[in-house]
Amino acid sequence: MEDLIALFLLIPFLGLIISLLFPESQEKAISTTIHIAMGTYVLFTIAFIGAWLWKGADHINIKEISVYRSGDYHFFIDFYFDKVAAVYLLFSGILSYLIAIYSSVYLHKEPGYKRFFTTFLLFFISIQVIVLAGNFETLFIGWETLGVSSFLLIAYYRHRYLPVRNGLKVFSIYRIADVGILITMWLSHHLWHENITFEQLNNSQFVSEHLVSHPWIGILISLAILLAASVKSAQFPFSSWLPRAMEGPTPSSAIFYGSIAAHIGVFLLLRTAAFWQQLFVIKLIVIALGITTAVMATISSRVQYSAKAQIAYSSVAQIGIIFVEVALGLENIALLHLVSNAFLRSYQLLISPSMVAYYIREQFYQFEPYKEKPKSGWLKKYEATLYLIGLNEWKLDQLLYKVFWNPIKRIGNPLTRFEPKPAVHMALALLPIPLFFLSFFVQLSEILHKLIPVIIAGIALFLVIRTFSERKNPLLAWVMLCFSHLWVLLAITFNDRFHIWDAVFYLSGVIVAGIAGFILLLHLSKKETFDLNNFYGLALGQKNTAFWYLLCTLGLMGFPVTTTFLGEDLLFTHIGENQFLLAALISFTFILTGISLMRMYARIFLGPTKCTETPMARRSS
Amino acid sequence: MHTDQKTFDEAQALHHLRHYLPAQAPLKDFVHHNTLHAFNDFSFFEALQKANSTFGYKTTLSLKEYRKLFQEGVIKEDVLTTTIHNFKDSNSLTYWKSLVFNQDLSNDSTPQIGLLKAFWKSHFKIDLDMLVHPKLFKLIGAYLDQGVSEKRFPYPNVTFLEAVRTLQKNSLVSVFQSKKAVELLHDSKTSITSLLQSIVGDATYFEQYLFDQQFSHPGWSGMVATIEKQPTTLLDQRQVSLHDFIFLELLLEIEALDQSIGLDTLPLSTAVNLGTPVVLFPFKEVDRYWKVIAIWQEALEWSYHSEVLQGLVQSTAKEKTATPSFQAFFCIDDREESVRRHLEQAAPDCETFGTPGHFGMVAMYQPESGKFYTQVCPGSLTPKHLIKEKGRAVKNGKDIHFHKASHRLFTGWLLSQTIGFWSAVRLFFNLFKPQISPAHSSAFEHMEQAATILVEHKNNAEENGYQVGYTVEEMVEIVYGLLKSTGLTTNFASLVYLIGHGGSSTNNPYYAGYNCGACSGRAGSVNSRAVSEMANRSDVRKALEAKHIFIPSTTYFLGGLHDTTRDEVAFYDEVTLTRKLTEVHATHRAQFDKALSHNAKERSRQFLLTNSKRDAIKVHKDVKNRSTALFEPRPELNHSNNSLCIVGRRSLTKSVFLDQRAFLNSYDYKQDLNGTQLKVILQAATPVCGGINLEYYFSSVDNEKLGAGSKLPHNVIGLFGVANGIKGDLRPGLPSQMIDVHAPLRLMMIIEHYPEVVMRLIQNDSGLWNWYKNEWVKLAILHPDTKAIAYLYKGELKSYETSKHKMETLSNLETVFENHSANLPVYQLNVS
Repeated sequence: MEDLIALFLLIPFLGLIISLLFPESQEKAISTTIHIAMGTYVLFTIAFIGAWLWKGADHINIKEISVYRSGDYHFFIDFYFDKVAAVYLLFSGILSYLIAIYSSVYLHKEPGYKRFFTTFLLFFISIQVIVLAGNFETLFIGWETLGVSSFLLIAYYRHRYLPVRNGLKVFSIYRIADVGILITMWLSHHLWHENITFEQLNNSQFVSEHLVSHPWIGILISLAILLAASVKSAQFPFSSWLPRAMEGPTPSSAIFYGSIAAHIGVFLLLRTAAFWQQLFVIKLIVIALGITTAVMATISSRVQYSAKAQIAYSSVAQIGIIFVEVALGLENIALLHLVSNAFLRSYQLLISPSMVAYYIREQFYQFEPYKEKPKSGWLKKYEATLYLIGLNEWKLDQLLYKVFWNPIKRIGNPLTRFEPKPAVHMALALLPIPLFFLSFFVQLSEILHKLIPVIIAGIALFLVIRTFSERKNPLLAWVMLCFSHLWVLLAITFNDRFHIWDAVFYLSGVIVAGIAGFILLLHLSKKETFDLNNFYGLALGQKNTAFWYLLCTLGLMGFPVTTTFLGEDLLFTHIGENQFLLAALISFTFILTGISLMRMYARIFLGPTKCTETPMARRSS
Repeated sequence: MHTDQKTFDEAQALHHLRHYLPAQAPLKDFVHHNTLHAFNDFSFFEALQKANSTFGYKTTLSLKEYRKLFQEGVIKEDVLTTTIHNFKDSNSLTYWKSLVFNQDLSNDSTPQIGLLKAFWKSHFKIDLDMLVHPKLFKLIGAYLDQGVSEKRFPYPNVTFLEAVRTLQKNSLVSVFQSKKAVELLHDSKTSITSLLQSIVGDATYFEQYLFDQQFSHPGWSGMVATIEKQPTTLLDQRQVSLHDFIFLELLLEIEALDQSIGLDTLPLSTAVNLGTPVVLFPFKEVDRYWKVIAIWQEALEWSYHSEVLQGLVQSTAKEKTATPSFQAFFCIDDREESVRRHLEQAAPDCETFGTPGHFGMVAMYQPESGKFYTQVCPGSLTPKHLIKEKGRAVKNGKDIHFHKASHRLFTGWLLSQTIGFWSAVRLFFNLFKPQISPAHSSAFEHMEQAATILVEHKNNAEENGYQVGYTVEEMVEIVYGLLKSTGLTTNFASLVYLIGHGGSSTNNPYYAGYNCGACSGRAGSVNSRAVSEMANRSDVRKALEAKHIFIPSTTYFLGGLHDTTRDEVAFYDEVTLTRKLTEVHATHRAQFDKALSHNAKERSRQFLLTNSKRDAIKVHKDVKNRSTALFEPRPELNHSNNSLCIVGRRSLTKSVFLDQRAFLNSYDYKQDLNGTQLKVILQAATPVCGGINLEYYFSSVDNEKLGAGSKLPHNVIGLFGVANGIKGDLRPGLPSQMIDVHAPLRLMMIIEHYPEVVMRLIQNDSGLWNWYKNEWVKLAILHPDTKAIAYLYKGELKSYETSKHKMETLSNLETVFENHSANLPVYQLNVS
């Protein structure tokens, strides 16, 4: 049984690889591959779960692959299978299969047919990884892949302005969820002194022993998990991204934003429930959060005049209730509710174009003209206020912008004066090297030892923030992002004894992706004119460059395509549990690096082009 | 031009704006019209250049696309050479040929629209549109919403601006985040002009600023202007006006500016040197680029049209002399061209006619228990009569998935715990075995087959200013017009069918666009049934005899409806047939069914996912499934590839294969030598067919700005429009799925009559003359005696020589349909 678990990933992965072999023009071959892969997947899942139930439905844990070991740090890929996983695998599999069939006809002749299914499978695989993950490290691989594939699906119509903009918006908000997981992993190392598996989390005695000795760390970990879960499930105050993600073809919105992706936060809560449910205060917070979201989203939902926004908010409201159910320990009810809600909202989204014919017919035969009813002044005030609040979606979209973006802009703007000459480039690049060696030989005083890593990490963060205000020179921004990695590493080197192999691990990915990306950009800048002040949509004429550059981008942001991913996790183990400032600085650096890189990719390769040969939509449409 | 004047005339500017905004009505009243109607005072090619230079629309195919069509043989070399000859100036043919084929010409004009508003970004580094649009769309969308949301806008019975004012007054949170904006909202002295003074400053720039502003979201502005003009197009009416909309947008701009750069820096004209005011619609010299484009477009059109003309001239079909087995009237619609062809093949003794699908009846219609009237004649006509339905038996189906309870908190909780599993089952069955559901919009629901309609006017009944039913004199008028204009005045068969048409689709916001254009986007069933009933009345027939039309008492008219998506036909009042006629009708019915299956097979050649190489009945089944499948964005291809309208006898076209590209209007010049009927036909057919054709043309060449883009991401807004995502501009025009097989050719109107009669007639009607003189619709006249062809070029008739080469004659098209999905050439057919 254990040996078969990998098939959950291998089947869709094989489908992905095979579908990539066919050219875009061979729609039939691509869709048949997807049908077979997804069909096999569903059959396999049903058979597997059947057998598993037959055998007594015990949870399964498989320590699959040991990736890296250094001291008491052990990075391994771990799989875990239990009831929650079974339910998620089954419903996501069935739904994805149905939608794959739906889409293969629906997207007939659509430019980007192949790209759609590639992203679709990537997304599906990332869900499988999350659901089957046996530890946070494995889960994080899926978690990050989910973010990137979401961006690609939302920005599917990549030469229109709004999908690209909203894709970036959602990606940025998703990165906040990534902070949650990063911090969870970091604190977990310190709480357990090992890379904890979810199986161990279910051992309540083991958990409560640790919690007694470190109650605050327990609460912090739970809050970090909750942060990650509420972002992905669009709970308060992150609800506004969900309706804005409805930019792709309707079936992709239906399956991902109507159901599977929006319900993945619930999964995270269920997966870690054994841990945080031991903390009463966290339970209270989850319940409060769920209820708040349910009420707020309902108020927004009932005044939405567009089909997809209405369904999105209704879904969010129900997920709020599911959060409450989870907190109350009603696992079975929560599972039932989430599967049913997911199917319902998907279907509602799929048939939303029918609304016009259906409601107009209803209106035609049942219309009652508006009659003003006498109302008291307060009732009028109450109704008007509630209406406007709902229509404004509680201004959550603007709130997030204010809280997260304005500070970055405010810090970034004065930094634009910092326009380094090539000499400064060199200095910035080379400076860390002597400092590295220095860090091995110099004994620092206590205060300096605490201060220097923070300062250096601060430099890294500044470099990244600086790239947001860089509008002219993409190459400069790229180089700064590469350097910021060096400075992060340096900060850690000063902080703690650091194995040389750890550094090699971390840097190998950065160097490869950094240099390759630089060359691609340099090459491109000789053929085309572009900067970071506008969208250039170069993917239209430079499909291949766009693809390879995207890979470099992913590599540089520590996406699980290079070893840097592992290195990032490794770095965090060298940050003490009380070094919150350092942890915060470095995680912000990572998060912002990701966003900045995606922003660069979007500005250069996505959005409307100036080309007059191909019709381009207006910015507003 | 207007922008040159120093003083700003608000009313004038709004009028000017309205003229250029998209005129598409809400989805339920989707009717095709010329997308660039505002430019129709110019000749077609001038208009293309003008619209391009002002608005940046891509108004033609690109040079690359034309050259590719040439490589593929769609544009023919000899036609191209002739066209270059006709268009070239004093420069040599070689010179022009090199321009046409090789040189890298480009159209480098930048659009005039947007230049002024660009200063916000270039000078103040703010993205004003992104600050204003989401809020503006939100307010107007919520106000106009017809029933997506559960809670409608609180004050639906007052004007838009008043509603916003009341909301601002009543709500504890403010609509605007700027005190100044609130102040201006309530100040009775505030006007568009005064707001423009604060924002823009110099009045010289006002009109340009408004154009920039409104054309950054023409979808919403156009919808507002259209609803203002015809408020009844919304069932739940709203008092909206372009004035209020612009007023609010300017207030929102004040708010955004107040919050970003502060109001002290305003107005724009003092802060920035705006340069000399731009002329929005400048005079443009026809440069080489546009000349080459015109050559290519003409060559593309003539490559097909020349074949058609050749086909008509060489037509071998004879006029019917014996009494046919039955006669069938169809709509002029291009989709009926093939049905008629297949019917004539299945029933060689029959005779078919084409006429606008409202069959001359100009009326409103009210189904039983319907709360509204709906127009069942061309949109340009104003009905005075009302037809009512009685005895509707079937209730409208309900679907829990559309129930608002699923969006509420507690009922939503119950429903989302339970019906989700049902949704999955429903989805499963729809994927593998699509069936009719309440989400489906059927052509047959317009009027129920089992119900009856009240056609006769009795007891002076009147409702809301409409006369209920028709008097006998009025009926005579309608029937006479129908028979006289189509030329059926003798030789009546025992059964005469009037077949209207409509479309059926599921999950398709554009469902109204699939119906009959002559019935304002409704099915033609009421009209076919009512006019049949009129023609069957003995008092009507008696009156017709006085007008020299003798319908034998053995002749019976029967109404029907053709579902163009499913290729099904239903007949009305079959029970009133005599026993003998019932038997005869059964035979015809079988012939209809056979024809419809073959028609479905012909259509399937363009449905790439359907296997056409099977028996017609099997293919027909697949074609039917398209209409009920949730996941089929192309249930049918509508008017794709339309490029002809032929007014003449059937003998002209019967032996010519026209590939569903022709509107066919039956007309017998011999019975109308002075052109009285022809005038009526042209007045109806020219704007309707021209409108359809040009909407297809412009949606094809610029699917993003003049069309609606791909419909796959569309989001239904307030039941009246679609947008991409949740906060985008409305997208008027046709989606890419409706035009992706369309070849953007202008319509050629071909009339069988004496050229001098036709010319006198159209020159005397300024509206008609405008269409033809400016070549928005091309005109060719076929001389009935000599078969000589004359065509209109720059307002003058020129003679045209068709190729003497004999066309390919086919006796079996089925193998062609099985093997070709691209547009087919003209063939001669073997017909009896």
